[in-house]
Amino acid sequence: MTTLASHQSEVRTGRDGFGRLVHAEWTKLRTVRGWVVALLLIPVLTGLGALLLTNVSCSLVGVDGQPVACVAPATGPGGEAVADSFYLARQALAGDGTITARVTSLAGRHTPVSTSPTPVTGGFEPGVQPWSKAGIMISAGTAQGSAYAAMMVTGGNGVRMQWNYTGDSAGLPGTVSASSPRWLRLTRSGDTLTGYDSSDGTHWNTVGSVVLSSLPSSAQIGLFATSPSYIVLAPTFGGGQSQATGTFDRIALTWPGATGRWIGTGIGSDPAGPNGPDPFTGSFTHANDTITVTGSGDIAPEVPETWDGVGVKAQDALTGTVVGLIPATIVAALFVTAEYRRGLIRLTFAAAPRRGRVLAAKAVAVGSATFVAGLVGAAIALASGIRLLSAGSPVLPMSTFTEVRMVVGTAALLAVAAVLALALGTLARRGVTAVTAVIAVIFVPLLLATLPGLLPLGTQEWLLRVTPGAAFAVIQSLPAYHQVLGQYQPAFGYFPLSAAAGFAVLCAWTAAALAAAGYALRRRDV
Amino acid sequence: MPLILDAPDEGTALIGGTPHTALHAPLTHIGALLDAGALQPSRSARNHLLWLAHSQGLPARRVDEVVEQVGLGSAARRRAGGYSLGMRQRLGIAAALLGDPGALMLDEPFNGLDPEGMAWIRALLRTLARQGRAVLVSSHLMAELEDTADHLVVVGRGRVIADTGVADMIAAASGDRVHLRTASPAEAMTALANAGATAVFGDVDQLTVSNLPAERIVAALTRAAVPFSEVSAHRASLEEAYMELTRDKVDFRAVSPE
Repeated sequence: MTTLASHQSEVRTGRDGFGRLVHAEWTKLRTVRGWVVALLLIPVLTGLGALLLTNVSCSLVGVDGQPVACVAPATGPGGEAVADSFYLARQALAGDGTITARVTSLAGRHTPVSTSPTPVTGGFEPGVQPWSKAGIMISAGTAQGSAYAAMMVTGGNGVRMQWNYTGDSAGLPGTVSASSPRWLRLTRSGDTLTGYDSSDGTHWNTVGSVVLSSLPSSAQIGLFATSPSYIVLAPTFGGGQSQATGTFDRIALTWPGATGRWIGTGIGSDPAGPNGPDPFTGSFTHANDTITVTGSGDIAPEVPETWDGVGVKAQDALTGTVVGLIPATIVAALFVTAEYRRGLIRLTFAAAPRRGRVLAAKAVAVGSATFVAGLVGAAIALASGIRLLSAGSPVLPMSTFTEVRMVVGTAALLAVAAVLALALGTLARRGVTAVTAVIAVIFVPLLLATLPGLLPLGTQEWLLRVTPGAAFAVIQSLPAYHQVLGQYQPAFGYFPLSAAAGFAVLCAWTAAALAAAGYALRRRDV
Repeated sequence: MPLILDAPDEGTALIGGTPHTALHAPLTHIGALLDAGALQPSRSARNHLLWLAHSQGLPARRVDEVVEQVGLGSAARRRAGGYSLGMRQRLGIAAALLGDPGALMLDEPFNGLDPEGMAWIRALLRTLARQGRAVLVSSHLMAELEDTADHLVVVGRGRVIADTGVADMIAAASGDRVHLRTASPAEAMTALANAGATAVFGDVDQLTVSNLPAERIVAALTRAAVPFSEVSAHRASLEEAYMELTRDKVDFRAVSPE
């Protein structure tokens, strides 16, 4: 062994460790003009997606075939947009009490399948929808969006307790008939509403109990019916309106001030509107202690992907994210492959022999830069996109938490995907191979899964559970509601995984690729 | 190999007694010129040195110092892709000097340099060695090494063929031969043979004499009254010494005739 060096370096080195490697990698990143341009393209392209949305307009058509001005849907107590149309036979009653009723029938009719949203005025067909509803309700008022809790029978989902539009709890299964009636009971005690069901009126089960803090002392107590429009996907796309009639008897009101007089009110309907009479105008009859209520619509969250859904989702403003992902991933891949191409990687490792730390420093540098660029792009895209969208159609509201999650999630998605591309670049070493790998791993599955009709729905959803594109769930602005039948498909912006789970899938891919890249760096010569 | 860019089949390489991977700021211990073309073409020389300095925790001031030291000056702010081979060579040497290391490993540092650059790097290498640094130079330019190197390791086909001082190696290749210029070569050969020397004909009026020191050659010729015009000790060049050394390594030369 020959021992070298009697000269001792006289230069002073500053801070030790990982920080200076990150500093070095950041210096590399910012001193190549092409990469800086690409990093600046991330917010530009992400934001440009919003500009493509200007011609989105409302597509509702009235009975006379003329377009109807889209009115922003009402919002529920939770701030979400709601569909709130039904017929209610009600009494205003103060204080605590209990309403009980037996449902002996839920019948319905609907328009034949239509391919345009123009209401059909004749030729109805019998039948109920899975979420046709009839039952008893305690509501804060008759305005759309009022706080409520209700016990109901449904066309295909058994007895349910629902409250404040998004809450849903299952009771007795099966359909209702004269031979198999359902007893429903709703009790108010202060702000607490409790629902019960029974098949015989003797043995009662508790279905749910909720606290409605915004319920006034004098609430509307009543019987209701409604039925949502339906969608048919095969053989061709179509849908139509429907109506449901519930038949109630054995009605018992244990309430101070209760009478036998019921007031019929169509909530959210406008029977004498400019479009003429609505063929599905609700009504109620009361004879021999039996009440029938007929109504159309839904008491549920507003979902644009239904037959008569209104509004657009704010996530459309973030459509550009996938375009911003292109420069983000390509810069990250080239950030490392350029060093292999020029042999510069040898100098990098001579300067920092612990290669895993170099990879980590590169990941921090390119990930942070992409995150900041993505954050700016997503914030601009969402703010300007919502403004552009609302010019044509109401943008369904969402919570501040959701907005923050969408913006920060988009930035994090871009950053982690960039680190994935960096790891793939480290494994591939050649720029062309790396970019091909990025396209194959990130973009191809994403496009196959989100472009409408390219693959069967099940395959598309499967892809979005297992490929990095699952992370696009972070931009989903509205959840899919099981109690509203809609086209919850990737093509319409509904992802099979939650934002956190989808993001975790991307993180798992990135962690695996980083581990493989770190292993390869240690194993191979440069 | 000491930089562990390529893993050894066996053995270890230490720098100042420490493995490269354990060095706190490796470039302050060993600087290397690996490949002058190892640059991001669109990055300026100064920024190239800047990231390298950051990776060692060195201040940006140190970058300006080495830029001046290698004579890049104002060109350092231009993109390195537009550099001549000689300028890239200077940039690579600046990178090696950045950490003011005690050991330098320079691969073919003379490549692409003009005569002025050659003189500059020879002087630089001597200066660096005089400052107490170990300067390892690998090169195929024997003439340059002859003037600059103190110690020589000849490697062929992955094996050490020679590990010796440059002066020793040249002396060994030179032998004790003496060149003799004379108008009477036949008489001179006789006289020298009598004195115990071996002489062979070289050019027309020249003999190469071995086994006898120059002063005893002069004495023998004088005693025999043989006229001569020049007696000079033969000095091999490093290139000759190298050829001499590798002459027997037929295998090596057949594969790699350089």
